[in-house]
Amino acid sequence: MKRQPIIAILVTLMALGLGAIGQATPSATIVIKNARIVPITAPDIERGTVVIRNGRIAAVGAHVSIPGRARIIDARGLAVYPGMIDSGTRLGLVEIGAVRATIDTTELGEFNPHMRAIIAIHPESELIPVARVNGITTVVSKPSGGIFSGQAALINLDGWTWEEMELKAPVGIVFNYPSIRSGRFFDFSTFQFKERSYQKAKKERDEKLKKIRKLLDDARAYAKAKEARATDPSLPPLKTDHVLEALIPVIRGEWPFIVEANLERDIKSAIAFAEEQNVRIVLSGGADAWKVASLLKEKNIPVILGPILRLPQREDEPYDQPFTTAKTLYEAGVLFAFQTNDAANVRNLPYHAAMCVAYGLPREEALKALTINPAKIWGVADMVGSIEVGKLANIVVWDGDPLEIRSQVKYLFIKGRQIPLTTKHTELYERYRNRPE
Amino acid sequence: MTRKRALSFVSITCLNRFPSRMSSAVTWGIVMGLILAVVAPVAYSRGPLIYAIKDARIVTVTHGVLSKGTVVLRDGLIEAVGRRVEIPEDARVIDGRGLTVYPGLIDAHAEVALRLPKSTGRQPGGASERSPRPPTPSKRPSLHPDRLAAALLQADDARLDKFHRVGITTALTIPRRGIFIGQSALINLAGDDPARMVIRSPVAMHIGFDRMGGFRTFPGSLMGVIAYIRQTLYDAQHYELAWNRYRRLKRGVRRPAWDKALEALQPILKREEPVVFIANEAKEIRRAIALADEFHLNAIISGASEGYQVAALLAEKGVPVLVSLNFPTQPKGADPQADVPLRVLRLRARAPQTPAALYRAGVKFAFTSGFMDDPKDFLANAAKAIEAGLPEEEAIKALTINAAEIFGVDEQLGSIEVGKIANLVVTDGELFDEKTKITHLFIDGRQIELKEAPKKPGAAEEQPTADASGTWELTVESPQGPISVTAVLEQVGNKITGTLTSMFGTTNTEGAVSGATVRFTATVDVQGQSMDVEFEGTIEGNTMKGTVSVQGQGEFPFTGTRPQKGAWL
Repeated sequence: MKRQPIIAILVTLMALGLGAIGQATPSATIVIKNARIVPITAPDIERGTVVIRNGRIAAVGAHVSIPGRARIIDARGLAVYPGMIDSGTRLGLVEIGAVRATIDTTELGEFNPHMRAIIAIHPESELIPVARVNGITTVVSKPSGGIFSGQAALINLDGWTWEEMELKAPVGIVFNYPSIRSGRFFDFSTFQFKERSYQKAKKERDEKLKKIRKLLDDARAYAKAKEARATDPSLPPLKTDHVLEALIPVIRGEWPFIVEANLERDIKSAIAFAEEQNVRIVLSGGADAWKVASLLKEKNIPVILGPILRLPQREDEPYDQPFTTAKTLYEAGVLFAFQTNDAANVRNLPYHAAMCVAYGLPREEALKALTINPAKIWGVADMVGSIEVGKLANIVVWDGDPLEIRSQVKYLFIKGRQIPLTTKHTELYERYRNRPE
Repeated sequence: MTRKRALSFVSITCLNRFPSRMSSAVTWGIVMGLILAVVAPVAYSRGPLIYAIKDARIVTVTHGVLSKGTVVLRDGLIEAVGRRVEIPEDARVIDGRGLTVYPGLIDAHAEVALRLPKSTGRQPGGASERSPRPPTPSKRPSLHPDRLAAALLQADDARLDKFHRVGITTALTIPRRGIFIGQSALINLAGDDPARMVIRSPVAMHIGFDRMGGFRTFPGSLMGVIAYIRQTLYDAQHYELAWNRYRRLKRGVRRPAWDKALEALQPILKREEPVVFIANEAKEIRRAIALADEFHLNAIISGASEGYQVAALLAEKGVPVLVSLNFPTQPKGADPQADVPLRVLRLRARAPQTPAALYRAGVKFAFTSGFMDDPKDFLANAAKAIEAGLPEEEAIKALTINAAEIFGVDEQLGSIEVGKIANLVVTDGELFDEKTKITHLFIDGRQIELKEAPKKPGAAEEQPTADASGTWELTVESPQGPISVTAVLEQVGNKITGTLTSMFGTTNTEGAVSGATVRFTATVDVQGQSMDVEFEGTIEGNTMKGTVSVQGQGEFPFTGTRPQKGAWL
């Protein structure tokens, strides 16, 4: 038949092009043996075995019987860690910062609690493989801009569609806490420097808080009216309001506000605001969190620290303030995780944590802040964040310490699927290495 | 001063010199005649300017302090000063008991009484020559060495009052912004004719290290500014050489191009005129001195908020300094919790120490208002410098004779000596005491009306506790005798309306009551010239006591009684 060659070509193409991705199907059983295992939530196993079946961790331990018909990876000299979680990124929402058409983080207007980052995720983003080959298997992708930027999504870094990638969405609504910004600023509309007085700036901030309070009150009224209609169908139908609809889970305490705040004054104000409104918050950024560590502990507010690799907040702060904040939070007993707040450089996540270790944070705590802590903060500790039986098989096999910049990932599994260790970077590397002289 | 104010001044000073018992009609007629006689436009030609301040404490600055002496001013100059000075027959005598007389204060660098050309703003090339391409060195941005401040003077700057209020009689004036800004003029801060205000012009070439700002503007950095200044000065040197060669050879030499800017720079290269460098940061001061060394300039530093860091260098180079009293402070309306960097706090704390540091190092310095829009803190900040270790008499020198010496006018200004310009400040106490008030100010021998700062709007007004309604018989104690005024007032809430009747006729008045204090104003019409009168008094039962201020005349006490309470019928 004339068709046969075409099919043959197609099969060949598939084998070549997709073979790499389709190396292992989630249903296959994979055994990683002879490895040092760092489960995070349990003591390290010097020489043990991890069994992956149906995308989940089926067994883990020093003495695990190896099932038949399994693919066996001898990981002698290697170490098995849970995949790392970056608790704040723009991954999948931004491709090239300089190309506006590839940025999908921000909607116009101040109040967009109904904007869902999850459906904007671009699964083909070239930045995703770059991040995951450094051991990051799961990230929070956040919208930005305005006051309520939208709903952040927790995604696994593998999948053909955003539905496949979704681990939990939303995990919260991003809330850029209004700050009092006085003093000199550059006004782009007139292209001049201008001064804003403290009084004026404070008034503007207070106006914004007033608007936010009103919106939350409206959401409460809306939720009440909705409930009433559920019990009494004779009431006239309620017009759906997307904005208020999105705030109902927040006022019920089901979703937190991810409060973006860095200054001590704003953090304190946000904490008071959350108490007043009886809503749950997760503090994000938190450059001044070290000044309010005991308050954060007392109010049980988790912190997403980062980025860490930056300059201090003020010129008179110690040069290492961004690096020591994590230690201060740990000593105060505050639950915290790390974020890069980036897209192209999410791969650097372990080094943000590593800097904190160099400045006094115990190594195990840094690893927790990269794995189980964010899993707890985002309410997915039953699925990810450690190597435990029943959890998703987000597993990374390293040839050394993940916090060490020279360490390389040797095997990578997301939901039990082995991920090829190729990226745009390796592709370009190979391409130009093979260029004829 | 406007002509209107000058006129009202004349009319009442004349009025005051008539016997008090003269009937109002006669006085009135004479006043009218005099007003008509002096409608001539020149303020300097109005009658004798002869004053004697007797029995006052006199701080001469150059010849010590006289605890009790007399100063005589005649026609704009100091005629006599001393313990035993005969008071001329024709002098207006001011009783100086309890008063102190200082020389008029000199603000050694200000932007005042100037009609600013539009191009002194941030646009270095000048707004008029704005081109689509950014300025380059060859376009010579901000190059105005030929600009004379004396040619830009305007006599009726509304800000002059603010300078008078703190005793400033003289200022070195020049636009504040730019690189080659122009040549300053030393002026007296009063007069109708700008030409008569000038004491000396040009005094100095002013060079600023203004980075022109913006994104595509040359020069945008201190190093760019310095490079540009050096290139321009080299160009000026070459210009002189080229012209000299041409003048010498005449034939066979292509004539050089004439250039007004390079021409204007010649006096500073020949050290005939000093250069004032506006430099606040220590690094700017060092670079200004390096420039002065390189081109052998006669340098003066102005600003010097970080001068405490380079006092020794300034002393070694013998560079005088015009220290800005516009000390950096927390800006108004700043965030109380703002994270102010240490370096900013340090400068705020140390800038007031600069004068003392310069004094200890032996640097000659004078004070400037540092381009304050309202120099109301001028004396208070000088007091801060004293608090930071500057001897008080040095502070007085820095406000008077030092500036005169730096600007080469110490034969005319800066102390109370016979033959010098009659610029005087008279106070009721020590100059730097915050409770001290300036009672009299003389510029060029003419008494200047001191206007009080306008009261802040929105100041908390008390609820009225007194009722001002009724017909009041008020007596104003003018220096020449009592003047009767009948005030018929009606109070509604805290507002007052009514009429005032005096020898000037009847006018409407309005005002307000705050607590037991009543305030009402009227405009008295004197042959087409209107004059504002403000009464401020305290009501106690059926009596009222207070002061009346008459525009151009000062304040006089008044008392009054109310035979008839309640609204008139």
